[in-house]
Amino acid sequence: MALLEVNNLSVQLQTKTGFATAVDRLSFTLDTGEILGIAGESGSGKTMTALTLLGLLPQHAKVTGSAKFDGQELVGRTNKQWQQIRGNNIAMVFQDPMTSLHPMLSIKTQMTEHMITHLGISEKQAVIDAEELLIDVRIPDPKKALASYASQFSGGMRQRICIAMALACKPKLLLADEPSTALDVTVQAGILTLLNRLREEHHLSIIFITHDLGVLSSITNKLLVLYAGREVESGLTSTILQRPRHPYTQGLLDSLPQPESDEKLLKSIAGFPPELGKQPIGCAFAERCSFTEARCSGKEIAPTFLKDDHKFFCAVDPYAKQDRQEVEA
Amino acid sequence: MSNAEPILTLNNVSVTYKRADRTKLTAVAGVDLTLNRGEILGLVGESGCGKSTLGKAAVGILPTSAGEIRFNGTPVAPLNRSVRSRELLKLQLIFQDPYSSLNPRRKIGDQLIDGLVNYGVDAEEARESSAKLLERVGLSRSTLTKYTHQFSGGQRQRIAIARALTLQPEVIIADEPISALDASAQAQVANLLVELVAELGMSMIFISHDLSVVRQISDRTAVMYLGKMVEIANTHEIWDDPRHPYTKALIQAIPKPDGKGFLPLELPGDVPDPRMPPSGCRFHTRCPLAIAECSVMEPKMAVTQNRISSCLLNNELKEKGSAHVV
Repeated sequence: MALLEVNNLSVQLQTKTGFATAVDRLSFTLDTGEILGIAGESGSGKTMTALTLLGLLPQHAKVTGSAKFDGQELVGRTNKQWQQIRGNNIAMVFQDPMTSLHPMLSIKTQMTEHMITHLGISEKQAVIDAEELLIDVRIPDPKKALASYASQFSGGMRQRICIAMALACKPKLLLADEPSTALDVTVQAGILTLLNRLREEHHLSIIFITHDLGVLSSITNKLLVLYAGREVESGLTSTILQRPRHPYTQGLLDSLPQPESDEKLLKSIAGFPPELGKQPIGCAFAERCSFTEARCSGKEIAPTFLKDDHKFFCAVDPYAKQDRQEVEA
Repeated sequence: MSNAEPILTLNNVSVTYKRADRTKLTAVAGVDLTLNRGEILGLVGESGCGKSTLGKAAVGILPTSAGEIRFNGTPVAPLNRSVRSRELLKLQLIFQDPYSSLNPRRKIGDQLIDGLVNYGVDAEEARESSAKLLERVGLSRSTLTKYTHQFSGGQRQRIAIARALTLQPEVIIADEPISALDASAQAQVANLLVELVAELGMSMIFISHDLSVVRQISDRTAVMYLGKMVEIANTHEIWDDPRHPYTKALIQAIPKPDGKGFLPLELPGDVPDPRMPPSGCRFHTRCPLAIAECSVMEPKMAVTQNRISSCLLNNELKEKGSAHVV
């Protein structure tokens, strides 16, 4: 049984003009020790998916479908029921370590508070455990670190502290929402190395959310590409980055800086994603896609399944021939 | 670039902040840098390396504690507005965060024409040329009568760019102009800057921590570490064959989207406290190749095999650095 099984999960948010779909019938699974990457532009529903798995959606959000964690249903939980899962079994690391730590509380207070509540241990024991956690995430001099405040650390060190806090109750699943985006590349490399080691040593499963395909390439096993709240392509990371079948995935890859080219301009996908709640019936990317045909709109796009759980939602499938040729070659 | 004509030159420039607790922080420590006419120079380094401070000093909004900056031969001194040379209007800065660099309480049009009216252009004429600039950066004329909150981050940065262009600058210094923007807006704004530089015959220093963007758009790349320049070269040279160990470390830390699953190489440790920079080579505390001399001798920027870098093992201690494959 997979650790996390998400089936037809939808999230609707209340806006001034009624409910708008932010996450549209997502399905995916995650095994123990696996890292799943969720890729997409801002507004694609990446963060909303993560918040749903933690029960942290805004009030009045409607969630339908199912998300089973370790056999337990997450959808429809009360706040009290969430408290047993949140932090304990599923934990989260946020994008900006500058704002996710409290500036006026010592690291010790912030780190031990939930350990005492969730694990029922004494404060003394919590401090001992916190020191070990800080050693585990490679913070030098953990005793001094516990007595310090967030402002006394660099961005990379703060993110390490946030990761240590998230790991305090030994969660099985870690949700990492753009955890390295705000950091320098050198520091980012350290955080990626750390997360990968934690996965190996603690058999941690991770959902890694970012728009940076380079980061996803280096750390994830599987990828889920989202566009306007919907899945457009999913499968093994190596397959998706080397032989993408959806034009949007290809567009994301093309818009990365191309080191080999002499062209000074960066490529980008023209246009903007549809506004929240204004996704069309049919392919949401059709408006910006260069392969659009009549069959792209008006009706739901059926998924195409390939080997190794590779799946994509494109009616035209412009890269099909190319793919076959590569297989033959 | 043998026939390059310098337009902005920085000579041994230092910038020191005096802090409230009376300690001094030298954010830029003796930097030489030349921007040539028509080129895009990328300036990269980790946060805290002094690249933004250098950019602000280069346009004269931060006082230098030593050295000299000349723009078209005119000294760029931090004078107050009334004595600031008119020459220096041709030197403009674009800031990182368009959420804070634009005034939320004034109409875009009023903010744009300020510069022109202040320098004697008729208000009607100023309004007309501002409208044209807004159209050039991809916004409509009606933007003039709107406020900043009506625009997205990418649009705001376009407005900030238009504002920097009102006085027809020859040099723009763009301080992380795309890092506060959405991924999709980043490429568009970077492209706009590249196009404008070519179209209007400007030169640009593009300050960024995003090395892959700098690689794509800049002619030359300068790498800074803890207030010092460590390497300058043509962009393709620096990427194909970096000479300074710090440049190498930066490049190796970039994750590649090739689907092969290799983790980028980590550069251990943090940037040291600039109030107490390490002795000798400032990078020696994190350098994988450092030898005993590196903590004593201070390296200078020097030319070896047609390449400029400040590594003792490349230059002063070349014979000792035989293990250092160049």
